[in-house]
Amino acid sequence: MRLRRAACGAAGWLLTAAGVIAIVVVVNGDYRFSRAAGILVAVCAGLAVLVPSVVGAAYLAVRQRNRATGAMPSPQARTVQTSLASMLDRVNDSTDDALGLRRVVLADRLELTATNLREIDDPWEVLSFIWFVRPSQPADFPRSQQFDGLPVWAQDAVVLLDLRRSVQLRGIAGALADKTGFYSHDARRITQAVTRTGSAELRDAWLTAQRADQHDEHLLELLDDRRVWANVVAAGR
Amino acid sequence: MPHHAQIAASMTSPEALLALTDEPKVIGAKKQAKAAFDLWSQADARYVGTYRGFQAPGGKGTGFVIRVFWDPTATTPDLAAIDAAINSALPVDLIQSDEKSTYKGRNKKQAAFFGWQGMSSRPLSQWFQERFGVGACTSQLFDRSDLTQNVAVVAVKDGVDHLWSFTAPE
Repeated sequence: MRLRRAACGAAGWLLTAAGVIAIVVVVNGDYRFSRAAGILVAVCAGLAVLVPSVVGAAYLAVRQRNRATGAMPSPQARTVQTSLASMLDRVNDSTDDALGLRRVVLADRLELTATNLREIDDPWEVLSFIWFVRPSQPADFPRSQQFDGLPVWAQDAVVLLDLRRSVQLRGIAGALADKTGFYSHDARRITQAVTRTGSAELRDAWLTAQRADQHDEHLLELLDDRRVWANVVAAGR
Repeated sequence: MPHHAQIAASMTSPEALLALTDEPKVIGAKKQAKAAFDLWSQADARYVGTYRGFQAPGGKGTGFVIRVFWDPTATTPDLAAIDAAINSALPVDLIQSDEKSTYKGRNKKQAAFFGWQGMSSRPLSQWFQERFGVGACTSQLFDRSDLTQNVAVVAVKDGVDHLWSFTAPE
């Protein structure tokens, strides 16, 4: 792998050097291009400019179409979009984002939708994906169509991970008092998700935590318990 | 990993602060160190924590850096998620307007120490606080060290927070 990268790098430098020499020769000499060579140069220059822009335009068009089809575009359509996205990554890297599409592509990848989740096979991976991309969702995500479009187990995962995060950030009392925060969900919705994990311990801890006089510090520990998550993950298989 | 507690314990005099800053040779640094020490010792709340600089979109020339800081005894933010959010979800106009107010609100008399101030009252910092539990502000990228510094000293006085970042001593 390292060898290949080194070879690519060397080839790149050679091509650049050849190009520089060609330019120096053409600029200094009094050459007349033959007609065919002139056309070839013009076509190459045209392609070099056009191809990246065409890839960019194609990506935007496919993206538009996939969004218009609603929550679940066909797998083929998704594949086309992902392949175009990886081509764009190369274009963006080598042109220092001249097309200005890096943000768009990255944001599409970080979107928390059923389609994006479906592309990951391992449910544990899905959990870490949700954890990773959740802060990048819009502020009204828990009330959005995207959230409603997720499978129920994934919705539960979002609710529980959000509870875990707000407890971590604000403490149990702060998390419960915070009704409008970024990670806050309706208490009834949390109870549903907690119940569906099947962990009586977690349910008890959650119900205790809700009573203002008693804050169960055990809650955060349980929200980190792999056994609790195993049930959430199992529902996703 | 810098020893935050050790650094905090060493900050007992203006000279000690002068030894920590990345710019001890700036004109007037001695006077600044005295004021910085006063601020540190009279702060209502303070901590020595972690600093990270992230390159951010929306800038011209050298570009913008978002200075992120937090108290590691209180929270452990997910840095990869922060980086991803800066490059996708964080609105560019929020970054740009924060850079303006950060620059306008900076403390010129404290440039080598607590130069940045009033972060917690600004929307960008609140955006980060809400999602990741960290404070933040945007500035032009002045120096490579803006991206490699690793210690944040935060002092809150009269409801205004002051930030000083530097590279931990070896």
